[in-house]
Amino acid sequence: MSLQERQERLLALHEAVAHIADPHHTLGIAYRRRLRESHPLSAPNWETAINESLEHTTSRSGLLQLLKIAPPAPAAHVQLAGNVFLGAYRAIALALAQTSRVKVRASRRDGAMAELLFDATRGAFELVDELDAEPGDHVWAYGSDSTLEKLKGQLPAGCHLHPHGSGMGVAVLFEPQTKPEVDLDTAALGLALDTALFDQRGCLSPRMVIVEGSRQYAEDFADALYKALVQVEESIPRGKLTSSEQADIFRWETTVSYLGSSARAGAGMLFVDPEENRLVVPPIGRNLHLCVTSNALELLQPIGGQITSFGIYGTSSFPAQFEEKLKGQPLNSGLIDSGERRFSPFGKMQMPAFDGPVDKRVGFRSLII
Amino acid sequence: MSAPASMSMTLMEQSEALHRRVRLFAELSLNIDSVTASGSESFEELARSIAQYQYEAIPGFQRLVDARNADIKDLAQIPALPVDLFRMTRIAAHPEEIDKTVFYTSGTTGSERGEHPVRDLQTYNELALRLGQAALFSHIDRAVVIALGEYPGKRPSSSLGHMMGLFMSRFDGRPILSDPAGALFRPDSEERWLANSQGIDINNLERAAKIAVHRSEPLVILATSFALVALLEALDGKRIATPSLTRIMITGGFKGRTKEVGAPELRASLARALNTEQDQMIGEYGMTELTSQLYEDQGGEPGVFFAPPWLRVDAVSPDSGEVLPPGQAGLARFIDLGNIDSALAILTQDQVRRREDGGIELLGRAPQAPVRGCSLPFEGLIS
Repeated sequence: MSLQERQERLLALHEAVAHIADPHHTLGIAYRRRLRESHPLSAPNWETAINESLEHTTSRSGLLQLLKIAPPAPAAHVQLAGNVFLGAYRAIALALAQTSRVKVRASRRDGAMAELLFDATRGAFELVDELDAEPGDHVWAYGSDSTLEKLKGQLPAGCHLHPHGSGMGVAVLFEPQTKPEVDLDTAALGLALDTALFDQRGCLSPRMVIVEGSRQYAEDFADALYKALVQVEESIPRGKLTSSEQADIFRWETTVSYLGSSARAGAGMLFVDPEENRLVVPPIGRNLHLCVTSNALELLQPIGGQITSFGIYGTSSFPAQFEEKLKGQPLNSGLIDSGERRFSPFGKMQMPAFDGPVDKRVGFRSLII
Repeated sequence: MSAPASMSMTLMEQSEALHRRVRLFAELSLNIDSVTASGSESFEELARSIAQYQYEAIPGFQRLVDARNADIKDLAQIPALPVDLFRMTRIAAHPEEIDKTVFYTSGTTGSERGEHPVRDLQTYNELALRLGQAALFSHIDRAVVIALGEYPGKRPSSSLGHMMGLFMSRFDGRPILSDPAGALFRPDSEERWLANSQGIDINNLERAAKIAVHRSEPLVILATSFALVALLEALDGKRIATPSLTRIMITGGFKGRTKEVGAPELRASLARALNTEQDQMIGEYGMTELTSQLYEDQGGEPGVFFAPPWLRVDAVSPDSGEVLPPGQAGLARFIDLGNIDSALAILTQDQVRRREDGGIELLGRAPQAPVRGCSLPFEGLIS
């Protein structure tokens, strides 16, 4: 298929997703009806997510750039997971930029986005029940690490796998050395929104807050963050949790009550660790662990492979220093090696705009089976 | 024993008194006649006293109780500490300088090893030996006792290694490689630890079996499931001549190991290789965070464990900690009277079901919130 045809399909997909994002368009109405029926997030949450995190506002030129940088492939396959419900668009866009032969296995739990895109583009790609990749094909797969590991074992030799498994976001706040002070309330509100979106189920969602600076500065920020989390909860309430998520929360709340004082902030909990340099990943559900350190770089280096996204406030030098520190250390135990970590300011952690962990990464690195 | 300045005499006295009470309880509780005769205090009374002591001595526990608004006089309300906590902070009522020892976890499930400080080993030893005698060495006065484990050193850092050493000392106590009537067994000897990084020492296992035959004594093998699999692999179908009574204590699963073998298959293969019966294989369940252990009944149903009178095991709801009625599966919550100076109640990630007869069925590790798409589970990362 010619470049022209691939471009047309990509633009058709883009138009379809713009309609889906529009709450007044037939597609948008249909999508929201599907989400309302089954999605665990609250309606304000998925509505905010559609507005903030779906890349429907990407410019035409930005989108078409994908055609130039996506590695050509005889065929591309997409395996989607339920909790990355908005990610279906970008994954399919990437595959369409590569080739005309695109097969998509939608999530059995939440296949709404893929199905609506399929209908609206009049079959720009194929919906399948099982992947049937052949040597040379590219496979874009989302899921648990164990699912991806299993898939890796099932693909034929010569396939290019782009796995997107577990990961998490970390917010890092730097105490300024000189005046003027940063606006902690604004920073906190941005971080609270990053936390509330997707109820922390996304790989860009912040789970830990690292404050490089004094205990007093951390306490000041914690106060602001607490208020912001409460405020965000009022407009974007937390959705439903599964029983295993609730069990994790019960254990975590027991754990942090023993370790120090924690405060319920909205539906979640904010724990300010009395001990410095201790990292504990809280369970999803709008729970944050705030840790004070004198050196964020050193503290986070050992777990750098697990971090897919950073929220940064108060410095511009951290990203380069961190990448330098982690040079050669693969993401997530080597399974996920699709590109560099993402760095963004507080309040923008959930707005990947085609520069997230899956998109315009240098060379679209894949794992060759 | 004089108390250091950092621990008030009152707390130290309370701890000492509790240790004495628990040891007495253990002594009496395994002998029904004595219990009846002495009118010994109840499990509940002792548990309440320990909970009160820990509330006064451990700020973290006090915070947790207050945060839950729990009434620790009610055993069901005593907050159970998730085992993860042992990897994150020191859990002890006493200062580090009076630790008698510290037991460490193997560290297979997280980036850091958990630690359980022990102030008084006498209680640990008495409880382990009393139960070991009743559950593992029943009707055995003397035996040749060996372990398929690595020599743990003079001061074992693993509670399992410590317990195995205790059993060797108490139920055997003689040299294994020299004259059977020779000098007493040295507790720091490496002679009877028959595994190392190279594998299982088959030659010395055979020698131990021969000595047991010569002495007309049983052979008792203490081992992890994984070591027993390694033994079978090393034997490669060969059989070992063993005395008429050869008993095996099997502990642990295959957590973090690449090779897994089903329990029935393992027991059947061991019975063939060591010329013994499957009813001589007794499962043991223990963990670093506990002082006490559970054992299968000899000849009973494999996979069903029984707790001693000083340990209570309940299945609890994973999302509320509420105790579930018998027959329902839930997370294992232990109330261990042996954990006087650390955490009376422990919450694990092991799923159990309590039966009407008191047996505890082990159902495997509870699934955590799945690592879906992009999320890491709690406990997936602690550093």
